[in-house]
Amino acid sequence: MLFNSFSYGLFLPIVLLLYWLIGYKRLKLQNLLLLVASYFFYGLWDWRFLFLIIASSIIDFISGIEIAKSDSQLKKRVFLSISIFWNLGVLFIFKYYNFFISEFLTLFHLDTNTYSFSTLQIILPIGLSFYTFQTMSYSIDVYRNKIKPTSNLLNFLCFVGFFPQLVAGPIERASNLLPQFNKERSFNIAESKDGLRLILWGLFKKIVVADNLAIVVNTIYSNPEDYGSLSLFYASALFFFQIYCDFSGYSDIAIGSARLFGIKLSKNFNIPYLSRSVAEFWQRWHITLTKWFTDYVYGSIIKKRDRNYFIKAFALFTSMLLIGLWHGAKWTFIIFGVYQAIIITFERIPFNIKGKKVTVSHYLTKMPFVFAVIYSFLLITTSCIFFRAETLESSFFIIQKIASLIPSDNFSLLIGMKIIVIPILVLLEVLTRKKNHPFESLEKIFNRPLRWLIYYIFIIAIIRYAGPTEQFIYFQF
Amino acid sequence: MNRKFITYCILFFIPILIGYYLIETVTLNLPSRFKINQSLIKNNKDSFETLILGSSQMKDAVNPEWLDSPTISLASSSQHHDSDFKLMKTLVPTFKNLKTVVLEVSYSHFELPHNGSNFWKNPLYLKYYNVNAFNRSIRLNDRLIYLKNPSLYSKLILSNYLLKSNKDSLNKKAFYINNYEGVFSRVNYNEAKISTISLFKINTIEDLRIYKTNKELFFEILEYLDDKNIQVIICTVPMYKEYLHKRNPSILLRRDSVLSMANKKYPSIEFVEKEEDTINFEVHDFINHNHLNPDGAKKFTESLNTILNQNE
Repeated sequence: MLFNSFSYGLFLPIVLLLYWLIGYKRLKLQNLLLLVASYFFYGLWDWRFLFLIIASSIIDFISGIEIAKSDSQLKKRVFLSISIFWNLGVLFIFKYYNFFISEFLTLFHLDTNTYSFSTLQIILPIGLSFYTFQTMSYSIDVYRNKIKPTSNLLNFLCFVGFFPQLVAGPIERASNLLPQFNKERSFNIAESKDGLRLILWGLFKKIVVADNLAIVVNTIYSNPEDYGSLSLFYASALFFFQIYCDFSGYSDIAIGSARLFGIKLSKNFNIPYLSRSVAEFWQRWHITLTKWFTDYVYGSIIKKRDRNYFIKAFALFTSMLLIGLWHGAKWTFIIFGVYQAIIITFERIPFNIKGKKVTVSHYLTKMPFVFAVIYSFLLITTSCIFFRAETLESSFFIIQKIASLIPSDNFSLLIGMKIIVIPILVLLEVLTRKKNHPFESLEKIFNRPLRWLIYYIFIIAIIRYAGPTEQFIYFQF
Repeated sequence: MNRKFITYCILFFIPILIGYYLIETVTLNLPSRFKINQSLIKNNKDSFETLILGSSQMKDAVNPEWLDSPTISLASSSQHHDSDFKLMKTLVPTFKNLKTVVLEVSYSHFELPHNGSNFWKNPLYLKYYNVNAFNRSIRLNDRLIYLKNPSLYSKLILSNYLLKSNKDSLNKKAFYINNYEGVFSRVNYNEAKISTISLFKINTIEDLRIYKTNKELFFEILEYLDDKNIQVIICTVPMYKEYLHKRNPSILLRRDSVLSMANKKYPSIEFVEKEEDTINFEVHDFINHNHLNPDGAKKFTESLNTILNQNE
């Protein structure tokens, strides 16, 4: 079930009504309803993979308890390893096995028919990368004594399977989400109204902005050879906004939906196009994923060693490479991660000026804001080419074509009225950058009729621009 | 849940529901080929001898009024073989007198994906022809027409009711009789100017997976019609020369090999192959690179009529 589908428009109010009818005093029943609704939500896509979610949840639930119970460090490590092996194993089989096997066979010029290695005919379960990371972090946090394991299986299943964030995040930590299933949740009118506003804003970003930009991006990227440098760069820049609105729109709907149930999810985006550097970009983009890799990969590498520049650079390369690979088993994503690592490493190179140790990042913060934003936007847009192109060859072809400054005869045909949504989006987000979303402060500024009028305008835009229901890009990860 | 919250939610959403209901009603009242065809099916289904299927190329190439045999054209923009087959399976058994089905096989028909269950015209097939093209049971929103293509319907509502700029005119057999407006008319059919237009829709991407699926379905269609003892005519519609030059030779070769296989397996199949007929179909016969205007349609329909009459 997609958030931008008619089915979700029916599903959400029905579940919500039942949830609050049960009442906050019957917490178990409320959680049970959330679990059933979440599994129904996921099962509509493919019910067979529900077993995978349940298996992952139960393995991590037991691992958590056993890790906490164990007296010896060895035993703790065994149970942590079981959890990690299971999660990474599932991820490897479903997401990476075919990639590694086919690359291995290509490397050694082997024939799939002659050798026992062969690719598997399997589909990638939707949301796999999100929920495995979520459950894995639970086991690690228990091992690190950061949290106490839960002994309530129902609440743990809710933590893993909670439908708003099940298939595309935010990747929640047990320390934030799990306690919310343990305590009573009462209906809060202000929170619920804000949740609805957030859903509206998310739908606007997804349907009006992302899906409309997708038309231009797909047209150009399907035949890059027909377009000049400017058109290709334009498509790449539009793709940045497309993927931002697509994914942050999803996150907004997820956070808004959760809020209606009295549950707070983590913020996942913070106007990433206002970053002064690529390093800052990753603090504003897919925040929960960046934090995951910072805590469990980057942090783990530098923790026990001297924190010199080279160790940090190694930790950064490893983290960014894995972030790239997390997005998918494709060379384009690997290069995407490596490219980001190179830029961030460059930004962090320390050099001496008049006896003072400074970095490029330092200069970027001193630089006029507009120039710094342009700098990071150009670099991020270039990385978007790897993210969007189907193959590595295609990515390099596009970069080469952009760099060769070939005139774009048909460029004027690509600029339609639809592009106006970008300045509208940027203006609204920049003006309300200190708020969680642009609708947040409306209550304080306008009276009800005027507020409703604004909401109606956005709803009309959403209905007007609703096309064939487009899947969210991050579902594939 | 707070009663005040529910009350305000209801008050907020009521105007949206009313507004949407009005838009849906207005959309259903737009002039449409589907509506005309629905009434033709309702009143004349026992008399149709020929059924025409295919995409916009076929829709613009054949005017059923100029054919001697009673004909209905259910060809429609972007309609692929999977939709054709669904229409056939539901409607052919109800057309008691049907003798011939005319199918379109364009240059890239076998390498373009099928319409599938999310095709925006599926609600129209359901509403007007009572054909379930969704590949699943019907859902509540499958009956909502506007929501499946708001961009197109908004433009149509604007041009039909507000700007009154829509000059399209449909005849009794649902053919657009004044369908001349297009890229070619805008440049006064100046061939030099037309040759500079580099952007037009043509599929040059090869996809053997799609080819395999589409080929299988195509033979399934032929088998189905053969079982029902219905004559099949396969058409390739005229294309403008620039379009012909841009075709991918591998896609073309595979298409031609499928047609040749079909001919061998079902020798009774007739062909109207006009795709490369650049002698009879000139620039003035086209709306754009791959659509005929009514003048071109007249020539093409005559060719089809000749074949149909030969089969009588």
